[in-house]
Amino acid sequence: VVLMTTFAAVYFHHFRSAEINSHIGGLVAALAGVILANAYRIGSKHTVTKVWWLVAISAFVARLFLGLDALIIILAAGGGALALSWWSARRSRA
Amino acid sequence: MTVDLLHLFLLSVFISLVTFGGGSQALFYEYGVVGNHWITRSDLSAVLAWGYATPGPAVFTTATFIGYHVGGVVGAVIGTVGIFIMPFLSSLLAARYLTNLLRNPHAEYFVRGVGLAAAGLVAATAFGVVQYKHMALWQLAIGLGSLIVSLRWKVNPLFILLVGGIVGLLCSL
Repeated sequence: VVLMTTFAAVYFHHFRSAEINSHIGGLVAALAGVILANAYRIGSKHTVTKVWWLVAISAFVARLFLGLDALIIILAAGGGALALSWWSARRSRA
Repeated sequence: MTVDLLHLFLLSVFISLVTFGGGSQALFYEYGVVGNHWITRSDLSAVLAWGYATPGPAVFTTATFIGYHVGGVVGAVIGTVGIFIMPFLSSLLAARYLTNLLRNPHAEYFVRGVGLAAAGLVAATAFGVVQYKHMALWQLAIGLGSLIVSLRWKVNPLFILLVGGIVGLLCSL
C-alpha cells in the first residue's frame, strides 16, 4: 500500500502530462498484449470443452461492440451457466 | 469527496466479490475510467504497468491508485480496504462454509460462467486501453509481439512492458 501510494503521488504530481502520454504508445500496446494473454489464461482456467469459449467471446463482443455494462454481462454469464447446470441436472434425472 | 470515497469503497468491495480468478481490470476500466471518470485510460495503463512490476495482484494496486486520486492518502487506504476486506473475510469463512458451497456442481457452473465472462471483459479492456480504432501499425506490431511472447514463454511482464515502452518511444520520436 505504501509503495502504491508513493507511486500514485509521484505519478499524479510529476508524470501526468499530455507530452508524456504521447510517448507511451508502445508501453500501452505492450500492456494490451499482456492483458490479452491474461484474458486467455483466465479463460483457460474455466473451460472444460472448447465450446465454453463461446461465453468468453460473447462477453467480449457484448462489451466491446455492443457496449453492454460489465456487471450485466457477468451476471448474465453466471446466471446462464447456473440455469444450464440446473437444466442438465433435471434432464439426467429424468 | 466523501460521496466519491463511499462510492469507491462500495465499488471496490463489489469488484472484489464478482471477479473470480481475474477480470478486475475490466471492471476498474468500466467504472473507474468510463463510468465515473476518476482516472483516464493513460492513468489506468500506468497503474497496470506498475501493478505488473510490483509484487501482489494488480487489483490491489489499482484500487489504491484510484483511491489516491479520488481522496489522497485517505482515499488510497479506503480503496485498499474496500478491495481487500471481502477476500479476507471470505478466506476466514472458507474453511467452514465456502469450500462446501464451491464443491456444489451448480456453484461450479456459476463460477465458470462468471470466470469466462471476466476473460472476455479483460480482452475487451485490452482493446479499450489501447484505443484500437486509432492504433498505428507499429503499436499493433508491439501488441501482437507482447501477446505472443506472454503466451509462449514465461517472461516477466515487466520486461515485456519495458521493451515495448522503449521500442514505442523510438517509434514515436
